[in-house]
Amino acid sequence: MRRATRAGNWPSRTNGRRPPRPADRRRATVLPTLLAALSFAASAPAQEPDTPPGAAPASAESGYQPALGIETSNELGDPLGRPLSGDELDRAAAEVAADLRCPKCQALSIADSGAASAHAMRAQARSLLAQGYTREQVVGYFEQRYGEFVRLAPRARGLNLIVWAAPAAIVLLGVLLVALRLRRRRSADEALDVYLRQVERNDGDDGNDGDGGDNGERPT
Amino acid sequence: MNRRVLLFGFGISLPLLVLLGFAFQHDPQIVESPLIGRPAPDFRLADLDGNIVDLAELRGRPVIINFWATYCPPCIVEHPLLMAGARRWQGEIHFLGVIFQDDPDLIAQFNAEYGRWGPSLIDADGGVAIAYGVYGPPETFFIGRDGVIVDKAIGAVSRDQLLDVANRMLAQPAPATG
Repeated sequence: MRRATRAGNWPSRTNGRRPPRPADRRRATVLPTLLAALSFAASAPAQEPDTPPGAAPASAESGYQPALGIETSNELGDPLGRPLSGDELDRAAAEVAADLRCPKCQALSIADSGAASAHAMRAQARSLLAQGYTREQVVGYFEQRYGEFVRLAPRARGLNLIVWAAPAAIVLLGVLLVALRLRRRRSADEALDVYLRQVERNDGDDGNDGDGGDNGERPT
Repeated sequence: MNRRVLLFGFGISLPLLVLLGFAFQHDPQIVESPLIGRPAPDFRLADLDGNIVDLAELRGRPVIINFWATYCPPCIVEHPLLMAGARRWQGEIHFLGVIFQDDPDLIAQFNAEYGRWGPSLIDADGGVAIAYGVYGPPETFFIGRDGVIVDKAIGAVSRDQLLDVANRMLAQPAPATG
């Protein structure tokens, strides 16, 4: 069972710098909302916030208690693969991480991102693979939560086909345009050849009429 | 020839303009949650005082879960509204805060200074935030009496949305027990 720690496992978001104390924050942003909220709550009794009945002191726990956090098996069902470990686990975890988009810095995969969210997702993916969940199950787990957007490479179906087909279509269009341009140039060259031959022929005819020299025509 | 160039230009640029016009209507940072309409993932988390909160045990009454942090300005902006909401629906709606990548000591300081609207739960490994597909704080999930996610707010929740969704959740019939 995991322990509830006050410090938490999140890496610091402040790169070693202490986050600003609440007192240091600009209170100007709070005041307008506070005024709106006061009118909103005018009819409400001034009591302490609700304490959920599900809340029980940790020290009062006795017997079996499920681990803190989320029970992923409730969400994922049974593992369909075999538990991975060692190099195999490293490889599979790296592959899954490369396929998933970091929700914080959306242009990067969670493998390439240094964001705390990406760190947590990498750890989650690795843990699931170690438990025997398949790569598809793990990616599917994240997709069910974040939507298909979490896949760096969208599935080739529906409107997504545009993304897959567009590059090929653009290349094909380019090839077609170049081919058309070449064909047009060739026909222009042929027309020029015909024209030049005509000019030469005319020149030859003029020569016969004038000085009786070679008319440029070859004997057949 | 010029007419053909013009037509070709229109043929290329018009679809691009339509695409851009469509895309500019949406904030690319906002991705609709696939969890809306589905059962909320159950979790057990400890709050700052060490009390364990089990979401499954809260079924039967609407729950508002807010993922927040002290470093997030919109979280500070929405704080008074959530305080007011927690007072207004005292005993009717559970308000739960889940700390998103923040130091619990800073949360405790913040609560001491500005007041608390509900327990701040420690999601040490970020597993609950992942299970709810949280992109960044603040995100607020509205869970109906039956444990199904009714709606989600990205960014500081507005007074209108809070009122609207809370009233919708309260109007839901209580789930059959047994």
